[in-house]
Amino acid sequence: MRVSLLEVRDLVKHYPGKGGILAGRREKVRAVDGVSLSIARGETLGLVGESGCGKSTLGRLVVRLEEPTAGKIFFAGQETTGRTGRKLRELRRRFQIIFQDSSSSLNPRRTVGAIIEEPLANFGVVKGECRERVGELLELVGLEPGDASKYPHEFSGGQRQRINIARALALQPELVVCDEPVSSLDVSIRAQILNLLRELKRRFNLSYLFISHDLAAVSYLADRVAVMYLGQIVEVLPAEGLVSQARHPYTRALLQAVPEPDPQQRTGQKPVIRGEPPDPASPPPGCRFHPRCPEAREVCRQEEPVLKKVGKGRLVRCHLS
Amino acid sequence: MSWAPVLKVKNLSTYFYTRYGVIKAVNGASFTVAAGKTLGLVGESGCGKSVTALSILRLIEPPGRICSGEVWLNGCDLLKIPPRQLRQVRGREIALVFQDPLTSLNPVLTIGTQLAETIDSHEEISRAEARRRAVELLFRLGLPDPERLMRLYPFQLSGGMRQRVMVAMALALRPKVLIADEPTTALDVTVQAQILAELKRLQEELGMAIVLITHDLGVVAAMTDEVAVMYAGTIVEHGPVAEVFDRPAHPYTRALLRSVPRLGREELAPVEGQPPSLLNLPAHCAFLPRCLQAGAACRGEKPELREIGPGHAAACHRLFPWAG
Repeated sequence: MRVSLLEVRDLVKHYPGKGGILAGRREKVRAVDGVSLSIARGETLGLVGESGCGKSTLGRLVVRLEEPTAGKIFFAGQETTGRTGRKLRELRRRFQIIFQDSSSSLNPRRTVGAIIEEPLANFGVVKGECRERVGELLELVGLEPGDASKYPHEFSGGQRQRINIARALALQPELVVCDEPVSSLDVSIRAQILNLLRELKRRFNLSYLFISHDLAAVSYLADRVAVMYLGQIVEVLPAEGLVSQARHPYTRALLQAVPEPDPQQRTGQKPVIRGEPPDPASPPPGCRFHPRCPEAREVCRQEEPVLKKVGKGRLVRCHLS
Repeated sequence: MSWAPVLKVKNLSTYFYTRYGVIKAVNGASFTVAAGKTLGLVGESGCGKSVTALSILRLIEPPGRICSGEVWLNGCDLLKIPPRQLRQVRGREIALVFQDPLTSLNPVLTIGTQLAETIDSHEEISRAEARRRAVELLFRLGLPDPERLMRLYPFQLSGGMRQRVMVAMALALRPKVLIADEPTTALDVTVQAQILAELKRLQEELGMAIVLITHDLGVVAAMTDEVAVMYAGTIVEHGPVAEVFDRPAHPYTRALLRSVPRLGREELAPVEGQPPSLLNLPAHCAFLPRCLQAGAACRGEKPELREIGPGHAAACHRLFPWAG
């Protein structure tokens, strides 16, 4: 049996909600509520969903920037949950994260060289070697070795995201969590970064957890797509079947809401789902999607559906499929 | 058949005089908007889309200045009329919706107070009547329980609801032209789809023209009748939306269309390079350094927007080899 690079089992992350001392009982915000998934070596798993669905929290849990409330994470067969200190550090160089905001994730007072060098120095690469490696990394992401002496503000948003990518790749990780890496970039620059990520993946056999609300970007990069709603995975399917094989009404609604850049395909259809996702502090009973679901029936209001297998590599959490 | 334009922008230039030099944010932009129709104004960040919107309403503040141009609405040039008259035009004839509703709503006033204020500052009606109309507006925008909403503060609403309130406020006086600057960019696709559908419905009801500023070509394709593509402060292509998407003439438009990831499509060709610095724009075509079709003529004067088909114009020397 093939061991997956990342294996997440029943992961839960609850945050204390609004209220505080005077309000008495606090409602817990169930940001991630029982998520299981796996990523194979060299595979890209796209993670999509509306804002607040818990996709970023899941990404942060995977790289251990947050402590899970419950559940287990295995990286290359080793459990990372529960590890601290040196034991965690050993594994940490093997998974990295790239954030959405390319400027706030770079220290404005340090040069690009110093920024990229830091992870190398942290993991004991000798000073002289560092400099050379920084140059290589900058070239790898399409910048010049000479850019090492510049500061982040001297670069555009797209170039800064390249610097973030260079830093993330400095320690030759096996898994990179990309949290909305292109969302704040312009259309033309977005395509550059998506192509860069794709090329790097091929070259180093990287695995990505690619988090985005942009379904088109996800379908471009991912091998498989997981759709998240209110802290839970509601559907997993191969990326090439995203449009044709999506079964969950939520996935279909998301796909339908994406305006296609083609005036001929203008449908004039009414949006299928209305309203906004409910508060994750008090998810609706039964299926969490039922208040917005156009196909909801009685059973959807009563019973919570389970994520069940509906085909090869395909899972759906819906009573109706 | 061409439609009578309700808004006509001619040779608009807005510069910012900073200590680093003159930033030519809008540099000779011209376009028209037909009555009751939607014009999409597309381009990347920094291309001058938002400054164009602000310039039309004369909302540019120092160090920025509208240096030249004309903005024709209802037979008068908005850039020339006295401030008193301008106040009458803003809101009543032409209104603006910004991208970020949280910073454009007053955080310490209730939604109801803000909406009613917009209405009764322009019309001779009682506060009670203004509030009644505000409730009706919120209801028409598909907001649930508008009476309760009137008593809430902006922070109590979700992003989608806030943006609906902003749209309600802009439409309160039934303007002839609505300028919507990235109205759904910060929202989820599901919420975006709802707001765009409501905008469209209200447009039909009120017969207003919309200038939709966006960088999302999907939104343009879904919403607009005509599209104007902006690059480095000027319009490089202008035409009916189907025409521009099917037969893009300007190399930048073509590159932009190829760089958008689409569902179920494999290749993606980004526009290489970066947009030019607005601090020292070249005398020649601003797209030249990134252009794959550039020739000798492109190093000459900046190309002008010229008709290449019915209602379709582009600013590119390569389209008119005989002219230059």
